[in-house]
Amino acid sequence: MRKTKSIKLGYSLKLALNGLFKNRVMTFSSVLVLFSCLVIMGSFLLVAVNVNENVNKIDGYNKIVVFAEKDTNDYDLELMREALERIDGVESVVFKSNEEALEEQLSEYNLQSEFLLEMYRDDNPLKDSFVLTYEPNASVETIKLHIDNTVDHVAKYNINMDVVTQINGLKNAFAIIASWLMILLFVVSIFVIINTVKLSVYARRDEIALMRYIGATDLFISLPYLIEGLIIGIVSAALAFGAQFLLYKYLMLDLIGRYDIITIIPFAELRNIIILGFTVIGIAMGFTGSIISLKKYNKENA
Amino acid sequence: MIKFTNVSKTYGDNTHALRNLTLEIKDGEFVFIVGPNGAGKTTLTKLMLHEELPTSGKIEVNGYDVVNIKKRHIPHLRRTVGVVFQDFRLFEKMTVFDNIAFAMHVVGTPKRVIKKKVHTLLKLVELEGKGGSYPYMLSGGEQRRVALARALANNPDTIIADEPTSNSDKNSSEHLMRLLAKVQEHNKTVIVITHDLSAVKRLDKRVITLADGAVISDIPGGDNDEEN
Repeated sequence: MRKTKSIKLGYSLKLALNGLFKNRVMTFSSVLVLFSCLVIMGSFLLVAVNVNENVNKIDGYNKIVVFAEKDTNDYDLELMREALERIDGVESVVFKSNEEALEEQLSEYNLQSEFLLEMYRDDNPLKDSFVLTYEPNASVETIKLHIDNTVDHVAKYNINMDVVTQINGLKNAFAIIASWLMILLFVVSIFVIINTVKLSVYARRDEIALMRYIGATDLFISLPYLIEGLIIGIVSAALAFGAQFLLYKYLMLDLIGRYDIITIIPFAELRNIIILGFTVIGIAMGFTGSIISLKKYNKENA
Repeated sequence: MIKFTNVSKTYGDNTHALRNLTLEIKDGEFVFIVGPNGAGKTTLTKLMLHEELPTSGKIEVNGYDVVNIKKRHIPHLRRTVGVVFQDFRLFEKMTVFDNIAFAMHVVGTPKRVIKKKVHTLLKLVELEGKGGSYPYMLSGGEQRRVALARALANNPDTIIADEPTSNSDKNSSEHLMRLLAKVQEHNKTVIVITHDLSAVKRLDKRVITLADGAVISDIPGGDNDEEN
């Protein structure tokens, strides 16, 4: 039996480039659809990241105030702090003594602080507390459960559940819409890529038939079409990255970023994830389109 | 060696293309397979290349059990058989050189080897200097010789020529037959499927006649069988 010689990538690449050029209208359509899909997906992602960043700054959104029982001693307060810091998803724990709280409240109501402070010094009605900040994606329910079960001397805790619920609802709705839109765009992209590769395969059907007679392996026959998909994916990803950068710069940074109240994350911080995401998705879509098309062709012409 | 043992092939519409056919072609033999349309000649070729499977029987081609061959070995089986198609199947947009080189690219032959080998093959089929021509610039006979060169490109053990003299003049036919005889001298099995009895008569080779899917005669040639 004869030894198989290695597959020559250069020759397959040449065939792939030929195929893309011959069916340039379909190639252009594939790139355009995949490009649009990636840009829309990227825009949703970038908006989501920035929305997240800004809602986290809303007062009381990701904060829980944990009050210690009255007359808890310093040692127990320290244990409380350690226990709170150990909870998963907790970013920071800041201690606020009952004196600080009293001073804060008095100044808030614009009262004669010196006099009242003196009055309540020995009988402060307020409790020592910890202001706990949790990570944006942490589960409030889990943190509540941990406080209940692992932290001693807790008198009560305050969570602004209304704000949390509303913001989380908004985030979820945004995520659901974005997911469905992306799925729809992915399906359309794959469909267009399948047709591009199908046309390319059809244009070369005689060549493929002869390749089979001569003894080409399935891999050798399929490789140019897989490369076509790969090229469509990479080109779309590269173009989408360029467009995403421009959109972000002019719409987010220059236009929306002018308002001091809104924080826009610099593009440099998001660049790597965008490059990685676009490349992986672009290549995956290109390959998937090619593979589906080839499988269909092989099944029909087995 | 090519060996058919009790091979039958029935198509879906109950057409019996081959009926319990048994035949053996030894390595290095030159064989004509003749017969009227529908005799089973084309089916025979398709079965040898695993393009179709028999309904029953055993087929062995150049050391491969064609019926039970694993899918991944089919390309290797096909590389042992070079086919000269009746309609040549040359790529019109490729030069003669590229048409021949194509067969070698397909199996991953290095470029420098391809260049050298194409020139040798062009010399063998007496088409030196035509490497840069396109098929439409060649006569039918010349195109057929390009197809022969391509069939020989991967150094197969067997060459099958399907109606190699159809639509060609006497000179072209004789030329091609002479070339096929030359190919046999390189210890290759040559199978010529033809209607052209004059070509058969010119060469004193083994002749297998098929009719209605069965071998009705098998006449040994004058020079083959002494060696094999």
